[in-house]
Amino acid sequence: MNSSIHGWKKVFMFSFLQESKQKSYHILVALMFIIALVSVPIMSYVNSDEKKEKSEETKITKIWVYDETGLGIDYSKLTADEKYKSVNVVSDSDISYEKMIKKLEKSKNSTEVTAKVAFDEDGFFVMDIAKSPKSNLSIMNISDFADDFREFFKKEKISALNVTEEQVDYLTQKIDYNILDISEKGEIIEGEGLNMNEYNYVYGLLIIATIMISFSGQKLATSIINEKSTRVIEYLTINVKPLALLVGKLLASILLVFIQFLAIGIGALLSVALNRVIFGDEAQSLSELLSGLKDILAGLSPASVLIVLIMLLCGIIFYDLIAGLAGSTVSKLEEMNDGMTLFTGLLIVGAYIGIALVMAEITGNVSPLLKYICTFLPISAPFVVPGYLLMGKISIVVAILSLAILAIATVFMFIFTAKAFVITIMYQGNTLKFKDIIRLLNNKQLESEGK
Amino acid sequence: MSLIVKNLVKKYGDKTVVDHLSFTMEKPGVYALLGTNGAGKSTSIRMILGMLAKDEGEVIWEDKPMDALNMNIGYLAEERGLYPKYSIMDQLVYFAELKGVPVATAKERIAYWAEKLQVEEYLYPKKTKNKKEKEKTADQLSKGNQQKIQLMAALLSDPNLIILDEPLSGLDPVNTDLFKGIIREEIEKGKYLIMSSHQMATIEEFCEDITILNRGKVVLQGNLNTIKKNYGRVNMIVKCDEDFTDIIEKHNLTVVNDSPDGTQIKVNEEAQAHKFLEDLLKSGKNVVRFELREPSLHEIFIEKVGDSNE
Repeated sequence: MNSSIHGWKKVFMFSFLQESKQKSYHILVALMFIIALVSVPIMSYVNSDEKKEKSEETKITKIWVYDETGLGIDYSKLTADEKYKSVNVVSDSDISYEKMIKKLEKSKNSTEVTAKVAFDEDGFFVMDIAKSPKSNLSIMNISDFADDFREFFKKEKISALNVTEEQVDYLTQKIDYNILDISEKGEIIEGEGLNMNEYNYVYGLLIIATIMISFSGQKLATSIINEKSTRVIEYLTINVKPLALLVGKLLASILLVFIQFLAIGIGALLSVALNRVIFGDEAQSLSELLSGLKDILAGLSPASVLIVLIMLLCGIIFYDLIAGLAGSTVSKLEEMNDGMTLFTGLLIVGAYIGIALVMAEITGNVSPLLKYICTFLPISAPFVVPGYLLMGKISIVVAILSLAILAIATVFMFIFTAKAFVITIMYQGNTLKFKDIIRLLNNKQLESEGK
Repeated sequence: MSLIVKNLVKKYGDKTVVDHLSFTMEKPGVYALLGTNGAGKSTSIRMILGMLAKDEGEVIWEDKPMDALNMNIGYLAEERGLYPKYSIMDQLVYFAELKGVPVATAKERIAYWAEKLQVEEYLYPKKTKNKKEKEKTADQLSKGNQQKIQLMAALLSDPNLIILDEPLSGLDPVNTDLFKGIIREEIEKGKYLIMSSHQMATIEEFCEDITILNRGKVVLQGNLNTIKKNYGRVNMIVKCDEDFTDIIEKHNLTVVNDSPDGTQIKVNEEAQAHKFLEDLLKSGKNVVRFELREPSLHEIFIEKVGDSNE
């Protein structure tokens, strides 16, 4: 084994240094770093802008209210809110709703709206907010007003039932919920399903894993195809064994991708500091910007972080071996897409299994069996396990088991790739299919050979 | 030190592309592998180097089965290979390192060969007052200069066995002479060279032993001088002030080529040529040129390979 990979360090150093010297790599790393660097200030700016807009006085000057509920709500109370203090609220107009709509339709630069409250066929409340097509009001102005008007109506309809103000506040308080499961021992435990925040983080981690695996695999395959198409491979294979080439290049690709993501990480950290510099005391913290982050960080253990990192590394190696083998089946750079079908196909299937699982979790019940299949399947585990473990949705034991399965699959993949790569790397001709590789491994001639 | 190639066979399906190739190099020098395109020269070289699996046969170097990975071989491939976007200097150092040459030694040798092959300007960026020129990449070089870099890569480890697959193809006359000078230098150093080429004049210049392959089969093999001697002096070139067609017809000879420089006539043996000259002089014609020589390698090659490829 040692002699089979003798020389890998030289291959690794050369591949890493040369690739890291490339202008395209510098641009990509710089771009990723800049995007990460400006992300927090931009989020902060957008958030503060939204908040500011929500608290600013409305641009609406007149509200025509048509209440068909008969609840007898006093809509002039709306002006008690600072945002609506200058607004003229008309709830007893002689003009019918239809005529008012037509009037608004014709008016230009209008800042007036109509708000109709009625019951629908099923007896539920329904609100129609309308503005002129040539109105000066933006969709944001209208949706902001619609939110406020709905909250106002919610409270006032309860008040209309002779409920005190205190009771109204009590009745309209925000209600948080937890999804809990009952264990086999009859204890209440935290549910394994994902809430919206957790879904966002799991999805984000899944995308990061997909990008890392895709980048690394593509880089490795391109490098191998490049050596084959330029025939440098002929010179290399009389100096080092093919397996040493594969190992050296694979590790170089992984390091290059980790550096890219390290740049993103550093960019994100600096981004928090930059946010403080730009917004001073008004700067929002990361946990304010990313809801639920505080709880997630509090629940993290060094062991789970370590498992996630090993899982990602193992996943990248597993997929890189496939990419390396796929790359070695191609002799010309222009045929790369054909040769990479196996790699991209498995990557898409693996990532989509993960995406399907998290989407199913948010939209309905997922059977534990399906969840475990996705967690233990080597092609989907690198996408599913990191997010689920960090969110505390699978135990460390399950994650270790999944990692062990992936590691075994990676070893088998390495053995298979090592055998096939020695043959395919020297092959020149049409792109090899999987069945061709098997034929070559069985010492059989290819149909295309000798023609 | 010796190289023995024994019964090399390579098959693709039912087709045998190299059919029992054997030869021996007992002393340093140049061994030539000749043949038309697709004759099996490059396949043979790849099998000798261990890049391609042999269906039969063996290659022995210094009384042991040859293992290219564990010996010092210089190889110039037929299809030149360099990383197009990487710095040339970095590539050469990398290739030398893979052969176990320390970086410092590699750089010394690169400097030596760069001067010899006149490619210093591509390896050492010029420094001006304010900035240093960017390092050159392989795709910025002409085909000929890329070939020089490839030859450098092959020689950097100071190998004992050098395999040059079509080393002179695509080179201009100046660079051809440059390459020939280097080949000569390596012969003088006592190296073993295997060379494949289409340029018969070059082979005649350097090689003592040859193998001519045709569609994978050995059609002629041995010491070039012996082969030529065995053919005998059967090429006669005659130039007269007067027409001498009557004498040619009298001796029932075949004209191979007729040019202002002379008429090339094929004879079966030297005695036939002497008899022809005697008759020519007796006829009173003014003989300006008479030459009797062995066939050239080109002629032998055409004779052996030409007919079967028509």
